[in-house]
Amino acid sequence: MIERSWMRFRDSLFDNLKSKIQNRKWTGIVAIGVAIAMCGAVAQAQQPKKVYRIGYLSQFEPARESSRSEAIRVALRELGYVEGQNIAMEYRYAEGKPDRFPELAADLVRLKVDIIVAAGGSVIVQAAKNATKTIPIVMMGGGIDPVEAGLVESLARPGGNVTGLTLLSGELGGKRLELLKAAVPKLARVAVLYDPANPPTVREVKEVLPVPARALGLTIRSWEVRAADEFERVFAAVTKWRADGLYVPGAPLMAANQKRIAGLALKSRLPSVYGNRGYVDAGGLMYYGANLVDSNRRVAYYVDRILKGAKPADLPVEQPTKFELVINLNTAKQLGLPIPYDVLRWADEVIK
Amino acid sequence: MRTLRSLIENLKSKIENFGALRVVQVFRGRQRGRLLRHYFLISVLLIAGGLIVSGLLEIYFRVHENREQLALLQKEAATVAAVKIEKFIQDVETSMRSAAKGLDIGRQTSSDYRFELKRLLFLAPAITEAVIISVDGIQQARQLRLLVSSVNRETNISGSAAFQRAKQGHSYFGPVYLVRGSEPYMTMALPIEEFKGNIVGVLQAEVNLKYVWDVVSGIKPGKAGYAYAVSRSGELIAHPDISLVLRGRKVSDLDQVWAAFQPVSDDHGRALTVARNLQGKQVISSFALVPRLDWAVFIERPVEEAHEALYSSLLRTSGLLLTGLALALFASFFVARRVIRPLRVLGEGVDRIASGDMGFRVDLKTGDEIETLAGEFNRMAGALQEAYSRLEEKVAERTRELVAANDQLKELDKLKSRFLSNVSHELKTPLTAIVGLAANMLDGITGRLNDKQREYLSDIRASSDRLARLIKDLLDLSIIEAGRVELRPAPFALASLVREVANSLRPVAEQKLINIQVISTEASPTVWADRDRIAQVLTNLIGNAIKFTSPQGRVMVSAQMNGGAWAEVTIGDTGPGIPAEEAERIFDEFYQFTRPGIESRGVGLGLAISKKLVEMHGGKIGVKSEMGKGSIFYFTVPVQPAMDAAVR
Repeated sequence: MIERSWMRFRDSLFDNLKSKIQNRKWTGIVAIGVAIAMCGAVAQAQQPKKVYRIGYLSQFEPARESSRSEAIRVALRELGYVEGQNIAMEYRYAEGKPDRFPELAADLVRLKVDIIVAAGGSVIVQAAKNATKTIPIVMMGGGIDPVEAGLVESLARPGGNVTGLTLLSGELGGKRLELLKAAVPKLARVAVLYDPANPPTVREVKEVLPVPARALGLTIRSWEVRAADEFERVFAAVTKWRADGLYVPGAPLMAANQKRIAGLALKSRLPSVYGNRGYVDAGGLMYYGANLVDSNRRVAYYVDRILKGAKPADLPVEQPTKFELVINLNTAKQLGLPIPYDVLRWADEVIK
Repeated sequence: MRTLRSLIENLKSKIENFGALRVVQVFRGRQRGRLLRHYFLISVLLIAGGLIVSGLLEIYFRVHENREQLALLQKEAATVAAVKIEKFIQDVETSMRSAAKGLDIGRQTSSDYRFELKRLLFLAPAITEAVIISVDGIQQARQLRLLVSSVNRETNISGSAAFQRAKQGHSYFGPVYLVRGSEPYMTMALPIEEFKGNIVGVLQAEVNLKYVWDVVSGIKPGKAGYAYAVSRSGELIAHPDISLVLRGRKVSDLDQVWAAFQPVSDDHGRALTVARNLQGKQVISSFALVPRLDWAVFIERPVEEAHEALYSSLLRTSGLLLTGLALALFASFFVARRVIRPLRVLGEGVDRIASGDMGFRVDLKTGDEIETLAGEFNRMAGALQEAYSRLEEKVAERTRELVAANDQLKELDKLKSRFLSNVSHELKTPLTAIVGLAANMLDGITGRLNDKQREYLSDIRASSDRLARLIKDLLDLSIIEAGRVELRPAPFALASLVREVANSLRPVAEQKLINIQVISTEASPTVWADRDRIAQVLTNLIGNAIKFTSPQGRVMVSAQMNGGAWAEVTIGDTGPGIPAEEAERIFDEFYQFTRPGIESRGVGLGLAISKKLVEMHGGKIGVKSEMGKGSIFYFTVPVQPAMDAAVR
């Protein structure tokens, strides 16, 4: 029985195969099938993956932003996001004009980008947050505690559509004054420049700074700067006040005028400390704050996590762990300021 | 020949029914092919069983080995991770120790203290705050990474666990706490000793454990493996997904974490656990403890990845197994076929012999028991053929003997007939004389006879007449039996003959007041026969009918066609009837049917002669009778000259 049925099966199989091979229609069908399958495979291979659109909101102009945005682009590429392939970047530059933030943020929201990277302080984040409650916003490091600024509910659980990095910059004002005092032992009168339109710095200047200043025995006086053309006048006033030190916390308006501020400080022969590393590179004397080497990579990490489905509400805000003291020795030399060895030896970077 | 065939058939059926010879059945009917199946199944079971068992054993051992190896590897990885984390803490501790060594409480200025603390913060970036405390619990110096380094001399912290522990000369590692509800920190403290054993103060530091993340995220066992550290209270200290740590995720609800901190003596037994990780994925988890910190470091790998090598090996093994099985199937199939084919040939041989082909011999050269069996079978067939031919010989011999005996009997019969005819002839002559002489005497030729003499002479004449008839009958019969009667068939109208004979017997019938009815329905069938002989038969049968019918009875004679080739004559009476058991025998010679009260005349040859005459014509004669109602005799006569009738 088995034998017979097997033989029948075998014969039928061979016959079938033979006839099918001989049958041109069959080969035609096979060819078409293969072709379709290949087309499918090719189509699948060529089918573009979803292209994510990343809105990039910068407080600067393109030239000033380029190094940071380029670094982020590289970091994203390391995570497999290639511009033009699976991501599309939408850059919006405020060119140092904070009043343009809401308009640019609204523009990105209109474009229905998947993520907004807020390249700037808390004001720019706030502008983005005002523009959308749904599109995830990644902070790149605000000067102030984002919890206090009302950007997130807590660092551990942001709870809204904002997450990212905080630089604790606003917390470090006292430490900066301390370091400035260490560098200039006879320091007594410190001028502080701030943009009254920038709430975080207003808060820092009015509420945070007075306590450590008192502890350090320093007299501080704050000067409002509302526009770039006010710096000359303000510096004149500072000099008139006989300030022997200068502190400029991070703020968009200030950051946009780093070079001018550093130059005016030097011109006014004021030893200065800043809330932003860029000033020191531009001729400022000292910087103390978060080491930002890693931060671009962390921004890319947030973008990656969110694009992969993580909720910004659940992604904790990261604080910096590495801090650096950068001293521009050239500036010190020009100021005729001998930096004490006890300060210089602990500097993480010295610009000569 | 026929008997032998039936004998063999009988034998065959007996063989088929004989249980011990079931093998034969295999070749018949529905049973065909079962042996093949059997062989096939058995060999498949044996081979496949062996293959499967060995395959399963192989798989079992491989799984076991793989598990052990995996356990070993992961345990090792966990230990390495634990060492790395411990080393990180140890590095911080070493930095602190070296700072403590440079301190000389009481003899140094606070700027010296600050220098040491700045150095400590510079060397150990994880430390965000370092404090020097005197033995009485008052801060001597303080350095902060983020804030202005002010010294708080008001608060006495001599009650704190860190201070207490360090004052006793031990290093203190505090519980994990979260700064800003997010970053894990730990307090470390160690004693400041002037010299060994003389504690003059305490150096305390707050350590940012986020730095452990750098250590942990650098450990990547396998493709998707990861390491993480957990404190005894379940705080996640470090995890490659930093967001879990920053969220302050408690992981004490994970089985593997819970188990790790259970005091178990047999550490090997729980080396490898399959558990769910924080994402709910199945992972293989190993851990190592960091006893100084009371932390556990876990190494986890997704189950699928850990078993990847195993799976591919299993796939290979099962592939081989399947191939082996398929080969075994084919092999056993062909082996079974090899075994079955000679059996089938043998079966066909049995069939051939059974159908009478005694000369058939099975030709099998398998070189095994089946060949022996075929030899035995051939031997048996030979014996059978021999027996068969001997039997046939015997039958032929018997037949010859029978033919001879038959011939003898025929000769005897002929002799008997000749004897009878001779005897009758010889009897006839004296009887004729007796009858003639008695007639003369009755005629008064020898003188007057008295009444007595007349009566006696009449009796003599009557008896002589009867004797003469008897002799005539005997003579007839013997002539018929001797085959010396020649029929002279010619066409004649049967009905008219019937009427003629009936009329001739009517006087006898009328004496008994019997009415003879002749019914001739059809237009007188013409038959082809010897008219005189048929008349003789009719006379006999009608005469018998009259004889056995009681007075005032009826005799009915009819002649009609019976089918296309035969005419039939029936003679019915209203006599007493003939019992069924005698109906057959009444046509035998000398059989006398007697009935009480009915005079029987004749010697019982009439019906025998009639039967012979009818049969000579090729016809049939018979009787249907019902007791008490009468009998119907019938016979048939051919319409056409038949071969048989003509020849005889």
